[in-house]
Amino acid sequence: MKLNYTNDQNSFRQEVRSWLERNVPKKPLLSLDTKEGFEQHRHWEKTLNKGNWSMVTWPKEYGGRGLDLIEWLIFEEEYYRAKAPIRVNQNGVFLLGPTLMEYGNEAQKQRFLSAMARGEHIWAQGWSEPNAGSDMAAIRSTAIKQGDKFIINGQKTWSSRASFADWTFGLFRSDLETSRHHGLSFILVPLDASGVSVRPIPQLDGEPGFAEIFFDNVEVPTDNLIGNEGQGWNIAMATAGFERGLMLRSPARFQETAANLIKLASNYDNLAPSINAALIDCWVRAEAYALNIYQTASKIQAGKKIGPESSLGKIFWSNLDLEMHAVALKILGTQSELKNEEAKNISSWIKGFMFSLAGPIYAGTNEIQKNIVAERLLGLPR
Amino acid sequence: MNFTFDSELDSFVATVSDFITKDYSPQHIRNAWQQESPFSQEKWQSMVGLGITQMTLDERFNGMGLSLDEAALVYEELAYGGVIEPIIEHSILVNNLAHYFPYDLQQLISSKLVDSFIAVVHPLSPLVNHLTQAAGLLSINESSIIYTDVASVSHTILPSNDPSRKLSRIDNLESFQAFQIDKNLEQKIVSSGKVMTAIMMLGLSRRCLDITSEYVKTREQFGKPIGSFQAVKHMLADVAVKIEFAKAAVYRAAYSINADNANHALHANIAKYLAAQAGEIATKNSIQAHGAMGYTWEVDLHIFMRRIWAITSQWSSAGALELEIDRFLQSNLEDLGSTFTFREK
Repeated sequence: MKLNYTNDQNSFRQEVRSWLERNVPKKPLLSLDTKEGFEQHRHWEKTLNKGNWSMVTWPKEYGGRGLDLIEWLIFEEEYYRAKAPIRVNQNGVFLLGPTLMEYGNEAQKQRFLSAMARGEHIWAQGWSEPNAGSDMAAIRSTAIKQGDKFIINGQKTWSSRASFADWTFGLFRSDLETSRHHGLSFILVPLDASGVSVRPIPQLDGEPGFAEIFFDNVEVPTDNLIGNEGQGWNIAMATAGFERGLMLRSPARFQETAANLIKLASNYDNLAPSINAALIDCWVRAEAYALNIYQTASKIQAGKKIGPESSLGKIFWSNLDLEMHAVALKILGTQSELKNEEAKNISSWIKGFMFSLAGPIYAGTNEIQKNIVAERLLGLPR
Repeated sequence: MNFTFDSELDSFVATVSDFITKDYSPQHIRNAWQQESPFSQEKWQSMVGLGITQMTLDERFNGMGLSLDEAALVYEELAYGGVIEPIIEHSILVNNLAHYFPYDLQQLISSKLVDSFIAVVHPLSPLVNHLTQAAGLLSINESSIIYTDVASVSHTILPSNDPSRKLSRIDNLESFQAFQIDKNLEQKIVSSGKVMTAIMMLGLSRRCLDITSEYVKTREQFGKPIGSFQAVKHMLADVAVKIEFAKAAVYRAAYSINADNANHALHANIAKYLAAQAGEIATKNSIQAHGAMGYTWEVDLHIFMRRIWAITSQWSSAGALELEIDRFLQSNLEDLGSTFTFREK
């Protein structure tokens, strides 16, 4: 065990910090769930790519820097410290990217990773269907192979970023003779293909952060199949593991929220002891999450695989995020409902609260995560 | 930056785990409770034989000189076994720190570090466990360590809710030797007490969870194992989450003590705060999942629950930890944020 940064890691941090100081837009971007804001965020992805910052852990040939997970955590810490824009392509760089590294063939890596890093392809997720939510193996959308094509029919929903994105990755039933987890395939579909229609769904904040996607005899080349036909469930589980685990939710995000919460509270006199206790609890848990993720990153670096453990993390960070925002609203009191753009230090909390409510739901509800923990870590019967 | 344990220690942990399984069963603990002193010299010597007391002891005292973080998993395993003899206390509070003690005190106790038990008393842990079995007592405060032969201590035995613990209130020290220490050493001892309790809490919480997981797999109601019901699954998953997210904080705090990290006191507070929460939910949900069986003397669960309840407020209660963490936060507002965790002063 050695819990200090190396000189190289410290100078890497300085390099990230000074680049971000020069390049993070001074004026906050519009919401990424508006057409204009989406394009502003796409432009930011291109700017990141010019500095080779799209995903520091990727090999250099795909636009990365070939660095390790500790350096990625350092990058994330600096990224959140600099209040840099939300990654509009997080479905791509954090979820599909690692999936392609593991399961994609060389041609697919060449084709998709660099385009993703350059912000040319912004990705949406295509998992859930109207009747396949927590029970994802109930997927009914089909991809039937005909020659060198798949013909896709069906419907996906709750597809984050799909309102404005360029591509979606998802699970489709490619073998109608099988059921449940069998016969599913992981396929990449361009959203401008003939037969695709997208219906944006306004979220709790009124903006179309997700959408329904309809597929009507959409033709996709078999080159867009990741891994083997019928192997989709296992690949999707790996992708979901990245989502629940450290990739999608690096600790930096929660540590910034926790620090902002403590600073917010310091402006108020005579907070009730229960509020004070909740504040401390939140800050300590954000710290616990960071420590856990450094340990997890070190384990992965030492060659260990992370499986159902990522469900523990998902339960932990999603509850923490929700509680931090809930405490902030209690501190703000009658001010908490204000949405005025001029007072962002106040309005960001109600906005964040709305978003944090989704945490225990997306990437597999916390109830499903608890089943996974009980069955796969504790060995309880199904 | 490398937050992994040295794999050379895996076999050490396995050996201790094996010892717990074979030689330290719950039945042994129940038998020990029937003795006038549950402390077994035979078990103590077996554990000394395994090298437990030498792990964190500096090489100048014939120790292995491991740092506390490296040895933490071994102590956690002993706590998992519910060992009665205070060998974790002796190893962490005395042996891991002995080389920081004043030289004359080192001379006085050096021959007792490997084989014997030296007890420690401090205002944050004022009752001494198994004093009558000790070869000496260290009374620690902000400015001094006082060494006393146990024969020179007048004390009153107080019963504990945990029959594994034999507590003494110290009434008077008839003859003693006092050694001046600086505040830094005293703070290190306090942090060690907190981290020690946290390590024990991890092991004990894990034991409660394991006992309960086994129980719900076999106990049937409505024609199936109760562990197949989501209400039960979710209760135990909540315990697993709390244990998992205390671990890294505990190992980190252990690391900070030997690494002389300027924030070791904060790290120890965080570690104990989280581990105590894990202990609280582990006991509450374990007894609930057992139903009325969890409320009996017959089921082994209570052996480990009692220990959790007994030690949870040793070396600072949850409220005191909160106040200390709060003070730190208020005086370091500008340092907080995403780059805080491993920042060096």
